[in-house]
Amino acid sequence: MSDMEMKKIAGRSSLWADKPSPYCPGCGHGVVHRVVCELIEEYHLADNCVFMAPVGCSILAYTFLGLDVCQAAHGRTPAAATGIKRARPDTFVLAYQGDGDLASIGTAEIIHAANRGENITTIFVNNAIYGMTGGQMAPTTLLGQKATTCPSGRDALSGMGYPLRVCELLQSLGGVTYLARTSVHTPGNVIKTKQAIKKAFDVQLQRQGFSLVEVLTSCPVNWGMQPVEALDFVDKQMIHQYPLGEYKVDGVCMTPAAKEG
Amino acid sequence: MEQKSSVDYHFYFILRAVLNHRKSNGSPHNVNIEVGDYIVSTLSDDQESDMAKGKTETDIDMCKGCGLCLTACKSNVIKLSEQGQANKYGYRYLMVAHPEQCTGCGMCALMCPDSAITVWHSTAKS
Amino acid sequence: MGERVLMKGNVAIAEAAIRAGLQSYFGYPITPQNELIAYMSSHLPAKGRTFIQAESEVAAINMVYGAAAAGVRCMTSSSGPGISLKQEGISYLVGAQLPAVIVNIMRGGPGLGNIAPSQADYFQSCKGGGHGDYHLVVYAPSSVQEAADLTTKAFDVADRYRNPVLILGDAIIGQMMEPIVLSEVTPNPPPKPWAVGGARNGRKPNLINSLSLEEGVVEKWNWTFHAKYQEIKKTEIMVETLYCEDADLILVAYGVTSRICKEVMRHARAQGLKVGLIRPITLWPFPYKALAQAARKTREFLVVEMSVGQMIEDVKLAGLGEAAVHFHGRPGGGIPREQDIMEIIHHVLVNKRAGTLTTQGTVVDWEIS
Repeated sequence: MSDMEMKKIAGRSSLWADKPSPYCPGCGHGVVHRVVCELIEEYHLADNCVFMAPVGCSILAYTFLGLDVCQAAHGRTPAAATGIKRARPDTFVLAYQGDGDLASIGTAEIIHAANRGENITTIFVNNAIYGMTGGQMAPTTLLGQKATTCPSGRDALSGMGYPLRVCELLQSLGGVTYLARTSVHTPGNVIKTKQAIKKAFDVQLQRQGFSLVEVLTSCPVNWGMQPVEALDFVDKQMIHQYPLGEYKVDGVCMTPAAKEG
Repeated sequence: MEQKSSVDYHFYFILRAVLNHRKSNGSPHNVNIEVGDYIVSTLSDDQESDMAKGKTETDIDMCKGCGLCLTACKSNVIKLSEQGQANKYGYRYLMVAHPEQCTGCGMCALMCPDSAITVWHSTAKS
Repeated sequence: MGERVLMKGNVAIAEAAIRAGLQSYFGYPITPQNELIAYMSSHLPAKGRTFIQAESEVAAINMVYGAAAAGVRCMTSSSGPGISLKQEGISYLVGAQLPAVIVNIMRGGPGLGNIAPSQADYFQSCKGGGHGDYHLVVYAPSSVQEAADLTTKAFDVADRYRNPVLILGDAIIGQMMEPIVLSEVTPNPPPKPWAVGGARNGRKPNLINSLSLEEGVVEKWNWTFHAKYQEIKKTEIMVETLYCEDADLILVAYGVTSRICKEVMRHARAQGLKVGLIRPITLWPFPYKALAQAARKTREFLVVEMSVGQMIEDVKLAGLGEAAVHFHGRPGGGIPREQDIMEIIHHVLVNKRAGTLTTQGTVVDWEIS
């Protein structure tokens, strides 16, 4: 008989409750939550951390994450996070927002929190649609993409606007230290997402200002696709509109080259 | 449990995701695992030469049958249950079809939105 | 005995808040309260406390939400249009059971209005304003001294009941300067084990939240809030009653309007007219019983407001039996004049309603319509 020693390399975080997540099958939120939980554990932050849950699908994070959670009004997450971080500068404040929260109703709040260099870390989950409310057009919806409030497809010429590029928008703000856009549609990109979020965590832990990671994810149900099919939409279409890469490192603007996912 | 006198170690990923993990019901193992612990299992010599470099386990009731993991596995280890085979929430679930082919790469678990997959990587040379 | 200083209302509120242990102030400029935010900007950072001029009143109330969630004493201030913007945040503060102090220095409205004083935000303050079943404790100071004292009290009341508290001033209260005594208070905020942030040291994670999709939960929360409000009604009502025991007519007014009415009452008494005054200090909880009590003997009530008539509805709700309720109002920045109020008193008490009144904005025997 011989023995084989096995080391566990992947599994469920201790911060995750012992019940299924409330998200749809194939939803990108679960992957991003997992990466965030891993980093919180690796950095031993769970004891002094506030997770800001937005309005959107991920409002439900509070039902299964074992952290202090503060749920804020729609779009106001950066303002509420500011209130918490200024009151408790040693607490790790993680703001988690979706397309509507950050790029629609909350554009003023994210721009000004970033501009002030608030020492918080924001994860922006971009799935080009409004999930929780049943699939309406988001500021990040692609041209031609269909949603319940643009049933013929988003058309800029009839006044529906253009897909909003948040990283590009925030790049010019002085208070922003780290800015990156990643995706989770392949294992390699999941690893890059974790690397980027880790850098964002470092910015907060070293009190160096504002950090944000935009993660392209899929919303199979509201895109009307099977989960695996939805990965293709990220790969072939979303990345073309939202190039992956680091947009600001140590406060210096960068121009990511368009890369393959 | 007999122990081999020497154990060889492979290079393994350090993707530390779990501090404590209570294994799901129905598993043959029911232990609390701390990070850095090892599962020591016994294999025959025949098995050892054929042994996989990894082990994958799925929590059937956490799985929603989304299939994202299947896009990541390059070793044909895992598959979805058949139509009609559902977990208690009504979802088809992930099964380990060819455990002997598992390399312990962990890519399936990287893709899983539900943290339903646990992966071990062997530290022994075959 | 604390120091006696000449202070502007806006500044007195700010200084009283700082002495009461204010940790975080978030605001946005709007006339007529700009001295308040300016004072905070020059005094808070020096004390190591948080001051932010936010990008909007919306952002400011949400920063208050965050700071309150983190367990610190926090405050915002604005005027009518800005308080309108804050209504969502106020509703969230209530729903999440967060203490905070909000200051409204009222101006003429609706819309952008003007920068003159008014009392047209009574409904907004006392009958909702934000969505959902809730109340704010509403304090209506009538002097700079009272503004300072009620601000100090507001932080304690907010913490005690875990509910936001509103200080309802107006442009006169905010702008006028009066000699006041600032006392040396020792802030004594209660422990806040429900707050988020800070090292948990094994404490179970806390949740600051006003949403639940589980059946029955939000209903249960509403009854919890209701019970809180019943308790507040029992213990926090503040009202001033002057010369009501033998009064033939009682003036009902709050804030700066009540000071005008006090002068009128003094003149009337000097003329031999038996006039009294009831001055609600808490607009919510409203002193219904004090009014009903007075109505057992007094048959004429004259409500004076800087609006077209908002508090008067609560006066009627008090159930004044046979008593008649009259109204005199000056909306949109107008200020009631002593001679106008006196004319109405003469019309009712002396002329027994004979003849015509020249004052605008007057209704004799006001009824809801």
